[in-house]
Amino acid sequence: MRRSRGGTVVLTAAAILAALAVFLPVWWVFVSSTRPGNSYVENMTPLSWLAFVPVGGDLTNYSGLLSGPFLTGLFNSFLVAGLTIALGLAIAVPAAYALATIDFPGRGVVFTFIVVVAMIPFDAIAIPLSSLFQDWHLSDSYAGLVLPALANGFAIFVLRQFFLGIPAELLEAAEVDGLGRIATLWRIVLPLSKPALIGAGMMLFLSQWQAYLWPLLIGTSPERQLAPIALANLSTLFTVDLGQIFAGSFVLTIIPMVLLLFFQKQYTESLSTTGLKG
Amino acid sequence: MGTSTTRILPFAAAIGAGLLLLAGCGGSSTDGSGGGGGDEEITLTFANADPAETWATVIEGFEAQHPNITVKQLNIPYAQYTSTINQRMGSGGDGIDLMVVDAGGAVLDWNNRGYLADITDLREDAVAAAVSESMVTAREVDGKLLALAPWTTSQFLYYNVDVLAAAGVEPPPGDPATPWTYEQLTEAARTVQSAGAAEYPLLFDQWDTYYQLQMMGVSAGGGDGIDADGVVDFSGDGWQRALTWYHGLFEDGLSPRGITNDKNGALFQEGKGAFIISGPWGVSVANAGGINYGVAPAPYFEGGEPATSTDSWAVGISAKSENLDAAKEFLRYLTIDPAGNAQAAEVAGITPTNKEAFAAYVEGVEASAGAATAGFGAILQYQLENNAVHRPAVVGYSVFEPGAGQLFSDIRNGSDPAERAAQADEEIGAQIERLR
Repeated sequence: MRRSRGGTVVLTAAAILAALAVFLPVWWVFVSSTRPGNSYVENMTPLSWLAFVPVGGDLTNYSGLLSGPFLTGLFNSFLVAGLTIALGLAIAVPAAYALATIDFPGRGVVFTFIVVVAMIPFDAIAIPLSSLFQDWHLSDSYAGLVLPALANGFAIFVLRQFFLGIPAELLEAAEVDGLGRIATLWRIVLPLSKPALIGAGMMLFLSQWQAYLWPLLIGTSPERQLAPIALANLSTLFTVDLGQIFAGSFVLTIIPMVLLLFFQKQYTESLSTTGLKG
Repeated sequence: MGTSTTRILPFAAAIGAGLLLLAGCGGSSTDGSGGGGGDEEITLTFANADPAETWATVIEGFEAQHPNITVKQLNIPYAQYTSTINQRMGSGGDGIDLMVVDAGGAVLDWNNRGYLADITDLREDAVAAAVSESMVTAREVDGKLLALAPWTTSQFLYYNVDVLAAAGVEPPPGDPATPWTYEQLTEAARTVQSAGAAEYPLLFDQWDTYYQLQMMGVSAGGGDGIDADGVVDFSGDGWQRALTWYHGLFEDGLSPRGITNDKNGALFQEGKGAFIISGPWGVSVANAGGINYGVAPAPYFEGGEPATSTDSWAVGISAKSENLDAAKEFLRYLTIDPAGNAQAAEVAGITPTNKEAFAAYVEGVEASAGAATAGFGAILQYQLENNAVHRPAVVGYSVFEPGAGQLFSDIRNGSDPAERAAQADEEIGAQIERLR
């Protein structure tokens, strides 16, 4: 009993330390973002505890940021991520369902192919792919930004693993009741698959939210700039407004964090079920 | 199976419709029409490395005068600009009509790759309008003019009046003909350090960049560090003198290691530095901090020649542009037209190259900070006319500049200047050989 308590203390202390290690930099970015202009350096050289105390600052960096091109970037990032989730799931769900429930010839090969292709880092193919997109006149367009992220192998994988966990009896019963494949998917399977849909949706969202290279290659006009590009443009050859950059970084960081916090249960559940069947 | 297929079809059609709708959301690279004359609608695509607002004023001014031409920007972050343009131009041009071109070898490199159109027909008007002829000729390759610079730069020694007073240091003179030497500057920085008057006695706007250090090598008699044949030489007496001085600043704690370039202006602005060597933009940076500061000409090495780094982005026209005449019209407005050039420099707060715009700019800067910037215009004009050094347009510049940056960085972090320079000469030279 005593040993167990000691272990608990050690593990709790380790958890608190790990949480602090993750939280402190984000907190520092937030506090620095409340200092106008470049005045955050006041407490940085030498490093003072005041660098972590949000006293004496204001939100002018946020108002400045949100009245400039960053706001358009933020809107575009949400639009592109939203379209990617909607259309990406529309592709991943039937693909995963087919791989999980239809015993067609070559199913194993197709599934292996999807998983292997998903392993290739997107950046490795971004340059030649962007040349193709230029030829197809998809540069500087929402279509160009969204299309490459739609067929997400990991999303298909997560959904397929989840669908495999749904009892076959349920699907057979639906078939006996006269439901076709699409109706079974729509009426029986999808209502049960909320965690997997949220997990796959989060993957699609994050793949777009943190994208930098592709938007750089494909769309950088002010109207179609994504938020990370708009943020990078705050640092020019001549001047840098670090206060606004901190504010932008904080906004870009906090949004996926809040989403993850909100959907934590379903996201964890979706990932933990991926190893159940194969 | 047939029934299933029938049921899948509407689903697939819905996805297909979604994708088609998505494809309809964009895809407007250029209108792709004509040569610029007449009333036809033309869209010019202008790639640059700035936020959109930097060029918005001049674009509005141009569009008001040319109602049939629309200028669309591509704003590529500065750090990724060159590689992104190389990728886009290398794979067909992507509808880009105009693009900013960095100083130095970029113009030669992009000329060799066939990216830039010949704009020699603008040369005569450009030279007549520019503050100095070399601002125009620095962008020529084999007698062909390939870009025109709307902006220029120089280097200044900014100082914090209150810090120097606290340390008992006499400020440097404002007369551009009699700048301090680097030796005098070092001595003053040492006095500030001993008095504990500032955390950072001497800052540079850009540590370790060739733009910032080129003038030191030239002043010490070492030349550009690379000759017209692409032979690299940082081991000669001149560059060794400059690099040993640079090395000593960090060894002696007069300048800090571990501070990145984006922080230097901020540190001076917040009163943590006694001196900073920076460009004309240093005025707006210092003004934003509300400190009591002064401006002096950039230093030179005792016994050497005064030298100040110069140049900035120029703008070139894509050789693949289908709107050559309209693009030239825009370039003319950016540089040769006084009102257009003033608008081009207004938002960035950078020095315009057109004589008339330059005069108005200087007046504005001098009025912005009273006594602090009273001598700014005289220093700027004198340095641009007498001792400005352009980055060399030589083969292999694209590997020379990052190689030199690495050399300076290593020396800043403690490497021996002689040994490291010998290594750099060999390594950068070998890379240039491979490019040949």
